[in-house]
Amino acid sequence: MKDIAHLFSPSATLAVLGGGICGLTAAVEAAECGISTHLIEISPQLGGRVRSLASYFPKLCPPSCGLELLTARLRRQSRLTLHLATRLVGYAHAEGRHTLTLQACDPADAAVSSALSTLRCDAVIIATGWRPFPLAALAERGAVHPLCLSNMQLEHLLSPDGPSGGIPVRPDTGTPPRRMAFIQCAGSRDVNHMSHCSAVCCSATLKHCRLLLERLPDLHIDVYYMDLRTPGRLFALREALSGYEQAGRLRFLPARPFRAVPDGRGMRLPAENTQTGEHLAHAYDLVVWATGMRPSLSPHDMPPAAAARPNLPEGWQGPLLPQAESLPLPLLLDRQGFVMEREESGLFAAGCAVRPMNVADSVRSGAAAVTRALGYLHQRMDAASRAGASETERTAREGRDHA
Amino acid sequence: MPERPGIFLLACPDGEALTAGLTSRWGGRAVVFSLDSLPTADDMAAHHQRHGLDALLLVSDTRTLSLPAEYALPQWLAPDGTRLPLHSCTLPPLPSGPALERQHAAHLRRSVLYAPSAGPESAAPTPDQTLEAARHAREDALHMAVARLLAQQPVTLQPLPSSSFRLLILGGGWTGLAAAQAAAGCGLSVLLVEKSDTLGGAARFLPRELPCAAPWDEEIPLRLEERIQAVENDPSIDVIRGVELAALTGQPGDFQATLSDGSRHACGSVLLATGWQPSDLSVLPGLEDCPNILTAGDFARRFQEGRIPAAHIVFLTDTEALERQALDRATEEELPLLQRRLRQLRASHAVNSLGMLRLARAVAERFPAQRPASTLLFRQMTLPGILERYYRKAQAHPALRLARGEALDIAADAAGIRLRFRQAGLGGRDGIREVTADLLVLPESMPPAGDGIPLPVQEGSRAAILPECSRFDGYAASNFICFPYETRRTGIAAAGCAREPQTLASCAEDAQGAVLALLRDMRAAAQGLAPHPRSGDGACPQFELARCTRCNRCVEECPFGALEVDADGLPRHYPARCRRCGTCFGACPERVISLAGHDMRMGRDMMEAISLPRVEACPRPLALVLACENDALPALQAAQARWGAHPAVRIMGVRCLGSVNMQWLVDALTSQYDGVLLLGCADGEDAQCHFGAGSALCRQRLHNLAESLRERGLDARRVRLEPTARDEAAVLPDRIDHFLECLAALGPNPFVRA
Repeated sequence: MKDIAHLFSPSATLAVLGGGICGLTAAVEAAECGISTHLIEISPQLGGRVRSLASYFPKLCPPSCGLELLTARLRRQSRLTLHLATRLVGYAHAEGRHTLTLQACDPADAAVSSALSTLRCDAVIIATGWRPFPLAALAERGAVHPLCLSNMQLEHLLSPDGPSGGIPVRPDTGTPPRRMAFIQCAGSRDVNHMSHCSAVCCSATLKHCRLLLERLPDLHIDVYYMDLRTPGRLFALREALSGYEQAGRLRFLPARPFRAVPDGRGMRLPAENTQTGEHLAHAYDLVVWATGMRPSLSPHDMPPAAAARPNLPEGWQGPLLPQAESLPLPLLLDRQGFVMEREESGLFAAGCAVRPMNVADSVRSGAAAVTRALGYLHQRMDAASRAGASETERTAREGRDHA
Repeated sequence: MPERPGIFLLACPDGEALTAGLTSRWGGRAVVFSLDSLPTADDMAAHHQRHGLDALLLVSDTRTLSLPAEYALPQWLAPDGTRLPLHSCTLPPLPSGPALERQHAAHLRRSVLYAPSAGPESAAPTPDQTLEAARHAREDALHMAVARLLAQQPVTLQPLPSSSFRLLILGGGWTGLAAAQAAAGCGLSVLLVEKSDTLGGAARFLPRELPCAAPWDEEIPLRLEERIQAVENDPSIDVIRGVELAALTGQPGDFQATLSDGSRHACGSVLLATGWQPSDLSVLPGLEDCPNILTAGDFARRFQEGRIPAAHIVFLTDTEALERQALDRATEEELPLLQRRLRQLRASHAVNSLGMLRLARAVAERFPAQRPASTLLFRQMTLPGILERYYRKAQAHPALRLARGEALDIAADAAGIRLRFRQAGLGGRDGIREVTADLLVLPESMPPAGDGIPLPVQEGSRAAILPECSRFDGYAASNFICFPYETRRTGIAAAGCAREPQTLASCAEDAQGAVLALLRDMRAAAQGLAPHPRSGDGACPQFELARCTRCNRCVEECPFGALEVDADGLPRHYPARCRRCGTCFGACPERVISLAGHDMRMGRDMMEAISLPRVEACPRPLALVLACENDALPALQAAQARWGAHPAVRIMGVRCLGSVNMQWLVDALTSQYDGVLLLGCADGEDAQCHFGAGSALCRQRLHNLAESLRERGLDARRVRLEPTARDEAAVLPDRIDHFLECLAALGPNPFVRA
């Protein structure tokens, strides 16, 4: 066997929605497997959410490194067509193929609409990713304050290209903070907001602590947490900080401050230590809310009119599904807006559109979705060739009958 | 080697001047087009036909990410079916405003250092001269790109004569079964090898329910038997039980696997799904002899077999106090293994949290009359992500007691097991509680099966198949976050708990991801193309064996085991293992290796392509920068996009610092350059290099080169290696200027003056 091309129909086409790390990986790998692939990204740039990260845990390596390799691979793929600054505006399904209606969007002016184009494909991978949970939703907890910021905002401040050269400062004084607090599970594991754990915030906070403590020798950090969840080998993140813990520059406090209270020159965090029962009320220069992930297709981000029912399987009893107006696909979404895959209809889902996950898992999820999509394309090819074969057989038999 | 390349200057404001420069430098050899934008495929076809072009160079002023698919590198397919080498190059802009001021100030500082006797007035360059020098640098970037293009040799693909797309899966547990189904679903043929007599692995002993799909809050059937049936009945999957892999030879697409029963099988790639092995309790002191204390895996098996009576069972997820005791008691010889086991235990915490929660719940459901049937004592639950929903639901179960606290000590006697713990929320003495259990269940440390390098060594190859196992506590994990299946052995990947302790849902997804990586590697091998990260590159190292001295340095330094010594003592190349990093070229002291253009001549031609008219007019000191194309070169381009062309450096991208032959440095220092700056990925513990450890290798070679430089009367400080990450564009100009100032302090290079 020289190639695996015969395993799939030569015209088999895959569309990938979302050019973040997950979708980009999926598209590049699918094209390298010989499948004609279209990568559709709404923004004018590839890389999605990871572009705004200062570094990846656990190695603290720059996201641009992996993106660089992926885009270099992309540039060598003649089977991959890139649609940047393009949105999906329409969808139709006929004879087992999907027809996507695409529209180029003007990044400067969303109101400017341009001509539509259509793309016919056999399978779609949804890799629409996530949005940061908005700090504004935690206004009742005092999170909307100049001395409060979200972990994604901190990520930007820690980036070497950030506004203060990678070192955060107090916005009022312009000086580096001496005491900082992280509040974990801000919006996550919270029945009022998101019932899920966002999977990455604990590891991200440990990464932030390391970057901050390395860069600011006078800084003390307190981390308020419920559980410190570092699955798999990520436990090493905490280990790497033990020197700072011993030096008293970093404390992990099992407490959940409900509210941040402005207090003189800083923010005070009243809380109760759930292990010792002790009452805490420390004050800080900056408070970082470790806000989690909300899927991009979350119903919270959609106008109420968008909750129309799409064409669902007959008799669907599911608990789910406001339809995402921003993505006119017959998707099943759960209450939080996570996508449930519909493998049987050629709609595959990957990355943080499915459940919260870190970068390595998103990459893996993208690759796994391509494998499932290839399986789907092969089964269809198989079915088509079986149908073709029985057609030939029938014709031959008819020929004999005529004779 | 191209005879008539077409050079397309795209949206370059100084297109006219550049065209004139190209014409005077390269004479009639190249056809130059100065255009406003990228030509359409039709226009390009017309140009190709009219001028008989045989290679293309697309030169842009700004870094454009999205070349349309018809301009995919490294070849352009002409309508007449010929394939033209296609290169692209981005010219740095000219510095202006503050950038020019900065560059001029640095230029001034250096020139004063460089020619101290000339007196500040006569030696000092003007800002106009700095700008002029930057213009030279910009033009030279173009000339160097043309020289690179002209040095290209035609690529002869080396597809495998016969290639197999059969996937060999080692391990018939949950991961192996999922991989077999995924691969067979794509139409591949599969050989599944299981060392025990039954399929299913550790999943056989799990309660038959687990949350592994939306909505993630309720247990769904495991369906292991169905899965095993499906695999056994699939005509494209062959299952062999009771054997292990004994030896593996060949290369991706053409491996020969010898099993422990002596049978030999051809396969195209190998998936390591060997999972984990049961841990013993001997790591924790005093517990190994107590019959009422079990590990979670052991407990699960007995529970599954109906050998657990109705009793109060305590599950303990965190054993830190016990571990501390064990560490205190361990002898010096025992310590390394114990520490490794404890690290594996940490890595397994998420699996233990979910697994013990599920077991505790299963116990509570089997013995509903017993109150409480099971207690789960934890210091923390690592159930990240969507599984929080399952945790939340389990908390409401009436026969299951969850308690947060820290276990202090365990005492076992005839009455049962007494476990003292400090309950969370209560301070001081009040917080100490005791719970009596009929049976105590401790977490599994889930060491990878084989505990170390799980595959046999490739015959004749110096290195083990997965060198990464030695780095990650025995797990076959990848060094790369963005490329979780990248290992040092092409066509061999790991998935499931062999890679990292993980839950069943995660194992299944991991299996699918690994299958894709292997499929991609097998396809590349069959076509004779490079795998990730240089996927699509067809150039393979060529050996001029007549001049080879059999020193075998290339064999020793190849990071991917792509070279072996043949019966005549000569290097034998396995193209499908090769990643085209060029390390062998860098290693060869006789310079008999080339990669279709990446050879001694290319380096020399690029170094000499610069158009400095006279030594006196040069901005001095002048340095050659050799930058790794993966990270350092893009960082350098980003820096130049912001600060403009640096007037005193000339930049040459290389595949990896490992691909830098030391003769290039000698050539540079004995021609026009005062120094050479090497920019590559950081080495060491968190190395980022995708080609082994190119920077470390280069550093070693530089060490050896120093002596021969001194013999020529050259200071070894004229060569410097600086680790440079992709995101360090902001600090690169300073780094370069600092090197140039060191060169200036060394004074003129004697070879340049001569």
